[in-house]
Amino acid sequence: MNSIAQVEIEPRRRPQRAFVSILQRASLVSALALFTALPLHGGWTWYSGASVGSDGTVYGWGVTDVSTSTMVHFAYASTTLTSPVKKRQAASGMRSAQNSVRADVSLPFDPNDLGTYVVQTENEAFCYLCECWFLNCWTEGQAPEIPTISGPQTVWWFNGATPSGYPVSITLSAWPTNAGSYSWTISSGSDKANLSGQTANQTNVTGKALSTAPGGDVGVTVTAGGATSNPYPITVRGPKTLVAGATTDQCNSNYGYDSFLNYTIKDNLSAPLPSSTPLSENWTSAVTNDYTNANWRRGDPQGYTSPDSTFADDIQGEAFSLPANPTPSCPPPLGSTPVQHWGQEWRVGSSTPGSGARVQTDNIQKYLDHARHTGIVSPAP
Amino acid sequence: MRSDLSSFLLFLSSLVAVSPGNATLVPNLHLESLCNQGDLIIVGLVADVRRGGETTINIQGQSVEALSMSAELSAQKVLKGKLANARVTFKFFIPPPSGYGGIARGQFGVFFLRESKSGIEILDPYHPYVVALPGAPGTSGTCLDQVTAELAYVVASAAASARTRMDAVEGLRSLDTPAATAALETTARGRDLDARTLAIAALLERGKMAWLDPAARVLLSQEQGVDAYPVWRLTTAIEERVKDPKAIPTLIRLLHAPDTTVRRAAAAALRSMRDQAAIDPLLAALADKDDDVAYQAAFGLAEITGDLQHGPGPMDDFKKDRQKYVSYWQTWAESRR
Repeated sequence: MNSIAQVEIEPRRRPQRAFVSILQRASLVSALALFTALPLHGGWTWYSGASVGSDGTVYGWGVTDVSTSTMVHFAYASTTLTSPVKKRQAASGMRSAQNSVRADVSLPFDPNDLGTYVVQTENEAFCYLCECWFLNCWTEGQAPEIPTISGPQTVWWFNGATPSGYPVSITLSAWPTNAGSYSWTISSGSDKANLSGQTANQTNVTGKALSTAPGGDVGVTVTAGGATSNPYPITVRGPKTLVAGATTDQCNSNYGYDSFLNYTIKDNLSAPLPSSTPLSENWTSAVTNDYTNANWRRGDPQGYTSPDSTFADDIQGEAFSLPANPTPSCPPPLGSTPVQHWGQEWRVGSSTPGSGARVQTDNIQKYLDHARHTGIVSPAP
Repeated sequence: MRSDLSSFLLFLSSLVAVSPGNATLVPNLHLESLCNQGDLIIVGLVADVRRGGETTINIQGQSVEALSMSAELSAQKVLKGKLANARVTFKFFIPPPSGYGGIARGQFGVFFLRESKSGIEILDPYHPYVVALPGAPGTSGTCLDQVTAELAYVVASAAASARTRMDAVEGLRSLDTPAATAALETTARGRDLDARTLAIAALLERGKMAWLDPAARVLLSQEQGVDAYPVWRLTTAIEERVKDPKAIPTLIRLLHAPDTTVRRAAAAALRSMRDQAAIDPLLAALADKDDDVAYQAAFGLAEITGDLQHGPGPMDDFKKDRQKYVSYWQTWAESRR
């Protein structure tokens, strides 16, 4: 529950009741005051208040407290809460009790009904001793304005890489903009996102792990002016898996063959990455020769930018001119003579080998006349 | 003569070249750049290849030992530049396997060359040429127009092998010009199933949704034995490019394809539409025996209805608890009837 804002306004007597009270009971009230030796308002209080709950519910209340030990007072309160835009109202009706009474109301959160909620209470009190209405006024209060957050709801994460076209940092803004101080918090999913760079009513959000549920499993709230916003949902997206596509094997007049192993890069929501994507391979083990005295060379790992979510790993045999041992051959048909293999990993988000989010590990298995990825693990921890 | 700097810039641009499809770790074929940056663009036959000495070249900032080679090209047409005679010798290199294109005696094609201090060299070692056939009629127009005409001749020629025709379609895919699109449309109406399929995929990639029905006919006709690569290209194009709700009837047909990858693509396309009209077919797809199809369906339903709390999490979790999601959405479907 947020802090209470309360305002007491000048009591406004009802003319007809005030007239009765003054003319018929003035002498009795004075006598009672002298008799009890207490100030008329000693310890008595009447007010209205309002607050905003963590789920955005606005609460209003009114209190009339005219307690005496003699139990001769009866308190009345009737509270109404009014929303700023839609003018929704919640009314308690007149409540009453001996000595003290509280009338509560509430309105549920409505994102289209934001602003200053006003609570008004009619406070009354009756004394059986003097048989008079000695309190008859209105009090009014306001709920603190519920701040709201605006901004993108998707932030991309590439394990520190920052590919163009993918917002890896997003800026959230709080409203109202004149609340003074703002306190931003990750209310859920703090293991997936960070806040940084707060300036005035804005903060930046960056990812640090992928979301595991749709719809925003990262919640961000802002507290301003004594009220806290509803959690603003953010989804951390990023490359998660490589989905193998078709494989083609072709002759290459200089290297024997080209095996094209096609893939689609998908994110953690199982959707293809939406724009051009830098990616890279890297080696995770030394070359192991399967063919005795093989002299096939391993090139350096490479990285490129794919124009979309697809790419192919082009694996070649070895240059005839080396001369290669064994001599690569041209498919088809495909043989089954292994030549060598080594470990490979794929990362997305950077064309620099070793940078970006890892999406797959496998082994490159080169045969005499073609190549394949074996032992594929995707997603790769 | 082009400076070394411009050649270097061309090489850099080839690393990040953006063209439809042909995404590969090997830099993408970018014919427009090749036409713009090439000093000599020649249609001809490699008459001879000779071995030179060892040398060092630079690949992605790494110094790599390579074998220097030279080839003699017998020119049939010159699309750009001037030749003193019909034979030109150019250099190329054979490094350790790096994705470089092969050059062999007898290869006929459109070769893209540049002039350097040390002579004439291949402009883009990953794509030293694109396929061509002898006898193509001469055309006028820009370099791109003429290259397009050479490729179009290949795809229309009965003399070309299926592989060569596919290579020609790949070349046309990399050209986003009216002439290339027209050539792809001609190919998409042709008899060569593989080339036709690849051409339809290229047309879908450039937003030609009228080709979705022909695509569906190909994908639903398994007995024709189309090659796996064009099918993959086609399903990828459907998954990533088909967003118009008008495509829903065709996608519904594809949800009944015997090929799992086709059904997955159809479900993913329906999901990505974010349209109420996709709800019923996605509900039907929930019952698919393939987990990925059902996953896309459940995700799509959650996204379209805004009920993301009942969208699936990671695929592994969905597989473990698939029935929970299916039951929820089936109950939801019954409640709205």
